[in-house]
Amino acid sequence: MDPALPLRVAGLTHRYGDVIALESVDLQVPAGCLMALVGRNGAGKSTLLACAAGWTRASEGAIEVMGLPVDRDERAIRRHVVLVPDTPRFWLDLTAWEHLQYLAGVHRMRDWRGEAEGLLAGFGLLAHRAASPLAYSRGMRQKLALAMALMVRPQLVLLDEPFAPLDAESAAQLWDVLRTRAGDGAAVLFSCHQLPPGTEPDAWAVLDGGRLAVAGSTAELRRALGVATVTPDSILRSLGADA
Amino acid sequence: MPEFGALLATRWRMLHAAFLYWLMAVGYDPEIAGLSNRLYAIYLVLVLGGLGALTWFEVLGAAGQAATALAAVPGPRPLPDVLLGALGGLVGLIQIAGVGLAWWRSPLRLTWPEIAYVAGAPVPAAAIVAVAFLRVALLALPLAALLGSLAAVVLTGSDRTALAAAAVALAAALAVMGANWLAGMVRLAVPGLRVRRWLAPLVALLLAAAVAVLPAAGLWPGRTLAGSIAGAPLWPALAWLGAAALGLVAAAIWVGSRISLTDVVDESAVYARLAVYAPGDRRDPAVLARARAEARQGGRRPWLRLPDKQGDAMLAARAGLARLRRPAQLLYLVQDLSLSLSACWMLADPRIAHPWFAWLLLMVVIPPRGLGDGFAADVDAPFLRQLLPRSDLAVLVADEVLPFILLTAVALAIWLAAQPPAGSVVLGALLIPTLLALRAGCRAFAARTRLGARVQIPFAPVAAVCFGLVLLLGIVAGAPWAALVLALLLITGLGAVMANA
Repeated sequence: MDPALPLRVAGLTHRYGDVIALESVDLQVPAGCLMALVGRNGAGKSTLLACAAGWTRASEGAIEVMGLPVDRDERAIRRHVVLVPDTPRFWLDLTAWEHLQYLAGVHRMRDWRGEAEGLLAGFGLLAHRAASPLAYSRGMRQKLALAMALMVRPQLVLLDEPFAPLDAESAAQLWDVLRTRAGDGAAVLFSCHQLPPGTEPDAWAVLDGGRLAVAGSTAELRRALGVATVTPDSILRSLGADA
Repeated sequence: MPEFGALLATRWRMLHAAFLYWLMAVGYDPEIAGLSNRLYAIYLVLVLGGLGALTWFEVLGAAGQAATALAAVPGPRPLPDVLLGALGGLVGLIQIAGVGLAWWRSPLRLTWPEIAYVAGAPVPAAAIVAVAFLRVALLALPLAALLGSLAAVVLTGSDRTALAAAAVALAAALAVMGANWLAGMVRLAVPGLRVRRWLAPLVALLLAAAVAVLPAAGLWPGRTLAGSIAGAPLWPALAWLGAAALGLVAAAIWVGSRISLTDVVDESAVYARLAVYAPGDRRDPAVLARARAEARQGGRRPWLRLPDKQGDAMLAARAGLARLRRPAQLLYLVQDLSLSLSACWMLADPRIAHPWFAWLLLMVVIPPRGLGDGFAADVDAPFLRQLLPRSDLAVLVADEVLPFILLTAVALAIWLAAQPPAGSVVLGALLIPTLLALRAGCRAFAARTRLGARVQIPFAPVAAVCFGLVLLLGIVAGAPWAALVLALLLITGLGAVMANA
């Protein structure tokens, strides 16, 4: 176990048949770090997240979650990592509230109601908690999935484009929640094409054509890419035309 | 007609993908390039074709035995003659039910690629109807021909008229399908009827009344089939029936050219969702239930409360609640009960006949429901599965323990009430929970491979191998106790795989 380094990726390569989605990617996300994963469509962001969560077996390379190899300790890492995909699914027979109740029960959590109410209220779902998630809009589903992921308090939170379906207010709320979780010591790695206004992650990782083009803090990216302001847009522009 | 060609190409790609899927289910990897891999694919096709032919001959053999048994049934008239006389009515009933169903749920359903194509190109509706009909016909007509020849063997005791019956059954099926599609297209084409799906029973009743008034016309396809089985001249009947069938199909396509494709897309929601899944998966009841629920947008408010439990008790509570919130799910347990109990009887009671091959065919063909539904829902998506910090085996046991106990108790009560031979009581009592557990294990294993496994293995091959081995050992080799031990070993093996996941 290595609580200081929730995610370590070394030499990660993944192929879909003849197509190389990721090639020799090295990346580390330390505890308390809020890292943005940036890249064009098809750059390999979702594949990297899926490999890190153990959903997809990497073709080559090593991935460790909390110091445990993902390919050998799948069950052990399940306690430490949660990936929220861009189109999450839900249990057909449970209401939104019961999803959180179910997870609290399965994880043997005591006094969970306050936390569940806080999460739902934070995402503006408290008034809709008695409804089935299948009746939710896409944005509401994404928020419920985030609430479920945060409810079980993972040490490594992986989010695939969490801001895309959210309105500006909800995106800002989510940012605050993620910042708080990172402050509590969790590592957060999220892919994105835009960020809520006025926010800045602790670190960036930029994928380009399946390779890690650059990674580091905002200041390091400013130097490396030669841009005045570091945003997902400016990063992609600095990478040049799509190959 | 370029639109027609493009739609055909879309369907062809789907058929090709489905074909590859079944080869992948038996170990073929299409991503490996090279001649040896292609030769391996041909080898697999030959093996599967050979198995299919062997199965068909086995079925024909069983049909011959059934014919002998039917002929021996005492009565005022030979039973095969009675059944042959009822064939016209049976086909008529199928026709009436089919028209009602076609009115309720349009037979024309599109996949996402087709919907995208329809949205992006001015495709004539007639082309879409024709291609969709062709796809359904290609799947249904060979089956109808096989059933027709099988009926000929069962009812006459010989294969003399099997070929003629197959040809007439094919034409009759085409006529039945044409009428069904015509009914479905009429509802979609007439603006005032589009939303009146609730008229379906009335439409069926009207057709039934028409058949009662004009039985010669209404029962014509079935009676023609019965005549061909009995040895009536083939060609005039086949020509007239074929012409009528083609006329009905042409009418359906003509009416179909006047339908609103927006309505078709709207009614295709569930089908399009299911078509995304691999062929083995889309028959899985859990997948089907999800597609229907998502298409319904979860409008129903659930009843009963999820109890406050901890750990595995919570898993079990949710699985129980899911079944109670959808009571129809409890009925599905009857499938597990009847299949497991009948297998137990075949293995443990030497007094009865052992139609084990037909049983195995049923087991493999009927999509599994009941035991395993809770587990399938829990492992349905990696997002949900990752939130349950237990092994697959633990989740399976917690999810299925309540229905398993219920089914075992009911099956044991039936077994003991049926007064089996004294020497078989204990064996049967042990076989019942074992076979139930083996069926649940097969279902769970198949559901698990849908999640992240490179090759997804459907329930059918897993169940065919596991239960096939058990029945071969217990019935063909005559060693039921050894079959029990083998079933327990198979359960242990499946459990070991699940425990490590």
